[in-house]
Order: sequence, then structure tokens, then C-alpha cells
Amino acid sequence: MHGPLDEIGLIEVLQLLQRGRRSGVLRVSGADVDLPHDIVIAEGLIVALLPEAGDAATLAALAARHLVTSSETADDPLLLAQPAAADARGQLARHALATMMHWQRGRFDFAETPPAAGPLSLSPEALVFDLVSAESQRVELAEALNDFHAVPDFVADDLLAQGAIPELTPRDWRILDAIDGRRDVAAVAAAVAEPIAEVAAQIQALQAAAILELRRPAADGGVAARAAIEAGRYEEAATLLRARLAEHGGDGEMWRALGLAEVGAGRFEHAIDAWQTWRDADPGRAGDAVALMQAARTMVEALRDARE
Amino acid sequence: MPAARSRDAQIVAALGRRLAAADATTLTNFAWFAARRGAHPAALEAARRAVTHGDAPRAAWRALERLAAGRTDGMLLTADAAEPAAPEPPRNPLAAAVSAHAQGQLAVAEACYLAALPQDALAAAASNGLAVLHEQRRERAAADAAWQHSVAEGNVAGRHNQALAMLRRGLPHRARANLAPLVVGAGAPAVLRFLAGYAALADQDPHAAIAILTTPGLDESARAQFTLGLACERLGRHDEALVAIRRALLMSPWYAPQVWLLQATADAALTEIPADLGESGALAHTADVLLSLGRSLLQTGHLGEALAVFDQVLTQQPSEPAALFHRGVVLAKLRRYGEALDDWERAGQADPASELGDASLRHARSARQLATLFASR
Repeated sequence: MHGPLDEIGLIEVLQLLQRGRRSGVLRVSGADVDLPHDIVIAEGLIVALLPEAGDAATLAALAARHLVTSSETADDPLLLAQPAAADARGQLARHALATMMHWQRGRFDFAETPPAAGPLSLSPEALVFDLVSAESQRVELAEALNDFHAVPDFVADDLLAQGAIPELTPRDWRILDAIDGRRDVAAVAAAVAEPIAEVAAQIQALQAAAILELRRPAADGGVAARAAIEAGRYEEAATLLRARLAEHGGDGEMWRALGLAEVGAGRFEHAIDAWQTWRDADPGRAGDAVALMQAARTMVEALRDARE
Repeated sequence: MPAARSRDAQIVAALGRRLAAADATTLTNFAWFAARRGAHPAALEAARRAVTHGDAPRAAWRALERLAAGRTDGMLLTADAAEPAAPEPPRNPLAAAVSAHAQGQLAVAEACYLAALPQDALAAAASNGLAVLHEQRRERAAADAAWQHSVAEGNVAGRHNQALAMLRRGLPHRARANLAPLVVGAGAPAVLRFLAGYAALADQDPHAAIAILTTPGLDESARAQFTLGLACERLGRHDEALVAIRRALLMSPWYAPQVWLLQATADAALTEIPADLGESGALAHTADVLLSLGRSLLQTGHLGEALAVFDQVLTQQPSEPAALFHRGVVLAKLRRYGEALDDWERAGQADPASELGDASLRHARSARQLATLFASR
């Protein structure tokens, strides 16, 4: 079983394998054909994902989350058996699979093997359900948090000192550690290297616990630019977005919007440039960026053919 | 950026007030957060409080150890939500200090002792622990000051340790003077009576040592019986020495007379920390008492047992001159002159300038003659 991802997406492939309770290794290659990803399937369930949720990646994630030290990851073979490691591995796998499910370039090859045990047990059907829920939550959060540009900060001292003792997870503490009154939600998510929607939801919970408050982003043209795109005023949107990007060149979301504005204005090559920058600024959404760039290139070629 | 630092300090202080009564996991994570914001004292205080909980996670001890040593690297967050079957009441900081002290984590112990000092009920015992810690670091002035406070409160462990420190500093007469008024009467604490006897022996007064060590209640103390045996042997009372040392050996194979005493709570049993850290100290004391036992066995004609005891010493310390000398005597009495000759020659080589070395070499010459005589018989 094999084929290109632009004909049959990874979601469908995994669902087929689950329904057939198949076992084996599904090798998936995205835009970078030299970087294959192996999804190990046992009777339809995903039991391993390499290298994204392998042992090395899991230990690195634990160290990055300040749950173990780098030296401990080398010295303690029992670390991977701990609940924190299982959580980290599952999270790494879900995030990687969510990205891969959006790929429209690349291919997949499935090799049947006897069922093998693995550290994961993920149902593709459940993953798809989670993806849909997460996307819906992401839209709601983006709306509530000014497209993730709201700026979290600690509440006033007297308020911070009062109230019930909150139950905070290690990720909550890392989020609090990244709060400096200047970073917006998107930047905080980037600083803690966690999915933006999950970080946004936790920031909202910290707001409800009277630890953080959220400030609306300073008038920077971002919101106005998106309104301009919605209204079809693409030149105005592009101008506003370039002005913002001149000051905040690392803002991936603005580069994505600039690409949309450029497409609207008919400048596909400029759009490709913007999305390339978006891909570099937000590697977690590289799949989306590549797909959009591919679409823009197709348009460029189509227009060139039409001119000729 | 001073303004940012100041804001960080305010945030840490406010959040710290809110989390004052939080569980060990939350306090540990707050310590991590405070340390990263540069608020070292608040971080240290949170870590101290975290470890006073019975279910403190490993990360709490790690944080305290590092913060107490002035470090912030290697601190960790924890997700451990320990849920003991029956919730344990929070331990006091003194219990945490004694536990850390017994494990040799001196920086952690110091931090916890300091946390316990402000509590009236714990202050005397905490001062004693701090004093021991200072003495171990050879900070004698600080140790004396801390013991002064502890002794003023009538803390028995403090009195014991203060006298032991005098002994270890080579001042046995001062140790005896300190202990003398405390060991009058049968109701005096056994740990103090033992130490008074041990101090008398160290002060070359075996008669006084025997008088103290034979008071009621000390016959169940291995270290008291070992010491009594040594005192009797010093006076040539070999039969009594044998009885005491054999009784002691039934209770413990080791003679460790010098221990620091710590107390985790007002009603807790005393925790002992060997004053001579590691095995070498205990071995040296045990070798002393075994030598004494061997000499008594030799003097009372128990040659086979004496030989076994000296063998035991020489297994641990193969060049111990006194053991070699006395084993040579036992072997000569058993007419094993060749082996006696070997032991005396080794004893003479080990310490040729001493009286024992000189005697060994003279005995070796005699043994050589006897060996030749027996060989030509």
C-alpha cells in the first residue's frame, strides 16, 4: 500500500489501516524526502512514531520542560518509564501527527509486519476527532485573544497575593516563567515551544485564577489589515502588514496574512516569499505554508502559460 | 535592568504570599520560578518549606540543596502529586534538617536548621544541630556560640556534643569538667554518663572511668562496655576487661564511642552521626578495643582466642605494630617461633624508633635463636 499524499491524505490512510486492523510500518515523507517518518501500527493503532516521538526526542522534551536535567537523561534508563515521559511522548506524537495530516506533498509507503508493541496507543479515529475539536477551539481562542496577539501579564500585586491556592502544572509554571509583559500569547507559546492553542487555553485559565490578565495588543495594523483582507482591500492590507512586519519581523502570523493579501492583489511570487518567511518563523505549521506556496506556484505557472 | 528586577521581585513576593500554605509540589515549582526571576531568598524559603512536608518530591530536596549552596542551576519542575494513603502531617523543618544532616547534605541541613530556629519549641535542638554542623566544618567559634544557646535551654544532646567537641579538640579535662555536674545521681542521662566515663579514660583516669561506667543502666550500652573493658585493661584487671568486652561484642561488632547526637523533635529518639565519618574512624576505635581484648586474653592465658582476635585486627590493618607484636607473643608462647619471628620483624620494621619496635627487634633475635635451637633438635 503506497501512494502520493496529494491523492490520498494521511488521515484517510490511517483510518483505512485502523478499520482493517492492519499491522506494520507506515513510512511517510513530506516536502523533504530525505527525512522519512515511520509510524508503527499494531492492529490499526499507532504504537510508535519515529523520530518525532522516539526515545531521544522524548528525553529531550523532558529536559526542555525542566522535568529532568540533561545529564539525567543520559544516566537514568528508567526515566522513560515514568508518567511524565509517557505524557511527553504522547504529546509529541499527537502534535507531529496533526502536522503530518495536513501534508499535501510527499508520499506514504506501508510495509506489513507482525504486530509489535510500542510505547504509544493512539487511535487514528480519535486523533481526527481531537484535531477537529482542537481546530474549533483554536478558532474560538484566536477570536478571544486577538488572534493570539493579546499580551498576558501578571495582575497587580495585591490581587496576585489573594485568592485560593491555584493548582498549577509544570507547563503553567513554564508559561508564567515566559510572561514578561511584552510577549503576546503567540510569542509565549513559541518561548515554551508548545502548541499555541494549548498555551492560549492555559493562559485563559491563569487569567481566571487571577494570576494573569490580558491586554489587547497595541494598535499595530494587524487587526485592521485582517479586516481589510476580509473586505477585499488587499493593497491596503499589504501596506498595513508590511508596516507591522518592519517592526516585528518574527511574527509568523503576519507573514501568513501578508501572503494572503499578496495573493488577493495578484502578486503570487510576493505571496510565495511571504509564506516562505512564515514557514521559517513558524516551523510547526510548515506543512500549511508549503501547501500554500505550492498552490501559489501553480497559479504563477498558470498565469505564465496564459500569457504565452 | 533594575526596573524589571524590581517588578520580578514584586511578582515573586506577591505570589509567594498566596502560596504560603501550598503543598510541597507547588512550593517546589514556585522555588524554581522564583530562582529564575532572580529572587534567591524567596526561592530558598519556598524550598525549605517544601521539604518540611512528608511527601516532598525529590525535586524539592534538589532545589534546597542547590539554593542552600548559592546555586540555581539544575533545578527542576515537578509533576509529582504524591498522594499517600493516609495524609501525613507536615514534618517540622528540624526533622528535615536532621534527615539531611544524617545523609551528609550539610548545606541542606543548615538551611533547615535555620528555618527551625525561630520556632521556640525547636530552637534548642536546632542550635545543637547547627553547632555540630559548624564543628564538622571546623568553624569552632560558631559551634561554641550555637552550643551555648542549646545548653542554656538544657538540651541533653547539646551538652553531650559540646563535651565531645572538647574531647576531640584534645581537651578531655574540660569535657570532664562540663559533664561532672550533670552525671551526679542515677537519674542522669545514660548518654552523658557514658561520655563522662569515656572522657575520664581519655584523661588518663581509668579508675574514675570504671566508677562511672559501672553505674546502673550502662550494662546495656555496647560502647559503655567496650570503654569499661579498655579501662580495666589499662589497670591490668584483665578478667574484668574480658567480661566487659565480651558483653559488648554480643551487642555490637563495632566500637564507635564518638557520635554526635541530634534530635528531630522534642520527643523523638536521638539520631546518632559518627563523629569519625566513614569506616576508617569506626575501624580505628574497634581495632583499639580488639587489641585490648587480645591483650587481656593473652594475659589470662586464653592463647587460642587471643590469636584469633589479633588475626582479626591484622586482617583490617595488616601493619598494625601492636597487633603484630602481641600476635608474635602469642605465637612464641605456642612455640611457633618461626611465625613469631616474622611478626616481630614486621612490627620492628613498621615502627623501628618506638619502644614497641625496639622490643620487637629484641624478641625477634631471641626467636631466631629458639627457632634454630628447635630446628636442630
